[in-house]
Amino acid sequence: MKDWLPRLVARAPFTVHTKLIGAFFAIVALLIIFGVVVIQVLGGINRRSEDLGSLRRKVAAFRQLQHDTTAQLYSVSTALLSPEERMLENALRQLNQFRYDLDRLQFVTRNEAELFNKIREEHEQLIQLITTVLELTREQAFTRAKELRLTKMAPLADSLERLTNEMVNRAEADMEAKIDESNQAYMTSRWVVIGFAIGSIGLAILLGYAVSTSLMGPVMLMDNQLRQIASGDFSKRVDVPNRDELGTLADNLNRMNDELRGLYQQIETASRHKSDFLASMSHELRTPLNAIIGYSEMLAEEAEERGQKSFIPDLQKIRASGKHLLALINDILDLSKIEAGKIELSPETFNITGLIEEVASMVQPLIEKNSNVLTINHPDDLGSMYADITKVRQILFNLLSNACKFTELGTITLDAAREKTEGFERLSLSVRDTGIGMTDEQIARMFQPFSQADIQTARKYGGTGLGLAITKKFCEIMGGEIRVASEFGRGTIFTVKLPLSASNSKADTTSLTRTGDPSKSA
Amino acid sequence: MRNNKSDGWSRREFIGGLALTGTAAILGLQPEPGMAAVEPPPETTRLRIRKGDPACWAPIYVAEPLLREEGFTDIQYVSGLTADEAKLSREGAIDLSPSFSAVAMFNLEQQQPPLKIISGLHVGCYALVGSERIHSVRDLKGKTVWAGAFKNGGPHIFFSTIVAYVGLDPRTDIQYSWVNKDEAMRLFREGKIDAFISFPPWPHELIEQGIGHLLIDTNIDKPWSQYFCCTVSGQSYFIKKNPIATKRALRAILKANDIVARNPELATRIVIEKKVRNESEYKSVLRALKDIPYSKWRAYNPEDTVRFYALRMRDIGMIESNPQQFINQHTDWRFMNELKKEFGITW
Amino acid sequence: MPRILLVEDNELNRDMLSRRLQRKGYEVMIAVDGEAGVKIAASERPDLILMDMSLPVLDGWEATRRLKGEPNTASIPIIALTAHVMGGDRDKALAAGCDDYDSKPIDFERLLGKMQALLKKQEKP
Repeated sequence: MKDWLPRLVARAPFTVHTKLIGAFFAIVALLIIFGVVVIQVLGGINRRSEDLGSLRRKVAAFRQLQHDTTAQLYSVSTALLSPEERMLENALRQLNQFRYDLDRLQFVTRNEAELFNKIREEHEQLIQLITTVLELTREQAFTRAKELRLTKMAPLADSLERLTNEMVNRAEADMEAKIDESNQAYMTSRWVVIGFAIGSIGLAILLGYAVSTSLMGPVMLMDNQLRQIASGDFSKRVDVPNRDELGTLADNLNRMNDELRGLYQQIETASRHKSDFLASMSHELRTPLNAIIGYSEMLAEEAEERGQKSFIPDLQKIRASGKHLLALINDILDLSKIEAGKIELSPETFNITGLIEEVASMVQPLIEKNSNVLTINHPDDLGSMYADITKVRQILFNLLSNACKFTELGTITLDAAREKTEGFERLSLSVRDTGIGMTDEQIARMFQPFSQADIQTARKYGGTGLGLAITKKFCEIMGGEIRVASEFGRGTIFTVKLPLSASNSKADTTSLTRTGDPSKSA
Repeated sequence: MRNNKSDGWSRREFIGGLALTGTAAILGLQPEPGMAAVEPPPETTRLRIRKGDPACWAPIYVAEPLLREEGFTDIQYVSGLTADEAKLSREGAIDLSPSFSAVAMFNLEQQQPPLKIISGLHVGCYALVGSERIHSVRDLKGKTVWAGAFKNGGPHIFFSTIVAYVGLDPRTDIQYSWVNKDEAMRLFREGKIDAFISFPPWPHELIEQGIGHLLIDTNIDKPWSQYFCCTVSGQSYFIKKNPIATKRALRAILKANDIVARNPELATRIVIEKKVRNESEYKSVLRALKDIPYSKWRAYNPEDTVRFYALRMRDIGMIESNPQQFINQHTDWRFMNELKKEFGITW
Repeated sequence: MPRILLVEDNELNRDMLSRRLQRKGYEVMIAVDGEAGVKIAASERPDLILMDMSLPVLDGWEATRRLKGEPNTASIPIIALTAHVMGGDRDKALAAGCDDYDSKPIDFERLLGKMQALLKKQEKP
């Protein structure tokens, strides 16, 4: 629904940096505008407050004028009533003071000269009249004074009062208008503030959403893609609309994806070629090798028959070398098959005890060779297991033959048992020997093919040096584990645990995860 | 409402030869030679003026012959209470309407009828009569008052402004009696009503009868005596379409103020003749018309009256507009401005 | 003297096995491909057939099937000699009708044992 906005931001051909800065600046601009508006409104309110102040002063001045006009009239009346010189003097002096009010009025109405002039003019008239009346009173022309007061002065004072009333009313009306304006301004500014606040928040959220989605969206997509690549899936591409650095990144990611796919396919093809090659080569290698082994055996037999016993040792050496070479070829083929992921498990149900006995008999010559003793411990009801018998046989044979090789005049113990851990059953096979043992260093390199120590050991003790690597791989493929514990000079114990019921699936050894510390688990 | 079509003053009534021109001569008001030639005739010859109970509206009745002089031939006085003023103006049944300024303003704000205040009519008329117990306006708190026969009429509005001005709530602090005038006067006499406020002639009747005393006499007491009491409003469409007629009508009515001032007996006669008041009230009407300072009308600025009442009514929350807004919306001083010069008005 | 038919295409293997068998007192007949093997088996009716599985012209499985299909040769025991001892190949061989199988490289003693076991069975009808 709101997808188009992030897309729009993404498509904008600006760098991510620019986009972010732009978004922040937009918000800052909003805040600045907001600030300006608020300041303007507050300025208006302030102006009006000042205006109210000046209006207040005007009103006060007018009222003062009215009050003093009244006082003036009162003085005149008093003077007429008791026309003493003192009274007359007071009244006359009061007129001067009266001018002070007019001066004050001039000050507060300094922006309305025309208005003020009108008021001053009329008040001057009054002052003149009052002066005249007072003079007449002084001269004792009471009748004339009273007549003047009645006919001219009183009406004029009345009219002046109305004039100043009007001024006061106007000033008050102005104040009311300004108060209303202020209220209006407050209402408006309140809405403006709320509007801007909502607008700013909305815009900030929108911008935040748009920018972050336009940036984070691609990042998440690319993260996802990387994860897929890491797990070997090169099939998908990342599609982002961004025309900024993220877009470039996505393009590079896609390119890397394609390259990796290409490489992967190359590797696969190469591996396949290698396996095919090895498979055919092994057959080619085996055939002449079989001839070497076979003929040397045959010659030994013939020599035996003809009584030419002196040939026999040499012929046996030839045979032994051939067999060794054959073993090497088999191991190499196995290992390469494992590496190529071409190991197939062919599980079948077989009797465990039977297999143990078979391997024991196979290994008997090796035991006797080093004057060792083989002890086998297993419960009577070892039962059967469903697994690839050839591989189990190979594992067991490898462990036992190793034990024989590295032990002299010692004891080799095979313990077999069924055990149940975490809900599923396993077969536990452990081969313990009292042989030369291994150093920690040797243990660390135990399961790697052709490690330095292994080669020397192989030369000294025989064997191909590949056996344990293959054994470990076979354990892994079958879903089991192999552990080793050893003390240099005292002996070694290998423990293998295999599921009693294998899952019938093609084993996948193409995992790119590295093996951990082999002394802990396989 | 009865339409009081008039044929002009009945000559029979005015044996003294108070014909139009004669009156004018007495008053010193000469129709200026050539004046009729300069100013065009009114757009319409028909003029309908609202007629009401107040005797103080005498000038509008006295102005009839002057109106004829101005060129109106069909002069109608349309009876209507202040409460019906809005309806009448909306219907276009009246062209000019006098009313007490504050109530005119209150109605203008409340009902927004098509009327505009175009001039003042006269200064001072309302009187608040209080019983012996009452000595000040504040004493009226919790007392019973007759302020007209119906709510929001002139007396009621005016009374509200008076009491609100000194801090009483006209709605809750006063008990009103809404009976008719005669009943109210009787109750007042019996002491069951504590105060009686009205336009003339009734307060003056009570005073004539020696009942109660004047708490407030707007002829004299300030600030009311500084402002117009009643004003003239014009129907909006009428004054817009007939500016010349409006100006002429206004001239006649304002001149009539002077006639009433000089000849209150004549004015009283006309008021009774027009059946605004009946014969029995002759004395009180005459006293009222004498007391009201009709001659002072030139010295008063109607705009300031509106402003004054607007401020006071806004203070007590009776209207919401500020004075300037109200003046802008509901007044039209063009006609007064044009008449100022010929009347020698200086404000 | 039991008569053995050896069907093997590889010359060295053929030479080795036939000579060793002869020394052990067996009479050895040779066929170099599957078709020849079927023909000779039918005509010579050996006591036992050693059949290499990967043969030209006709492979070992097909040859075995034919031989087992013919009433003439059906009773002759066949030991399959196969280079691959994966479960699949073994089952395949048994399915084709082989009586036993052995893996290459040939363990001569082991093979002899299997041959003797099958020949003994033949003697007891």
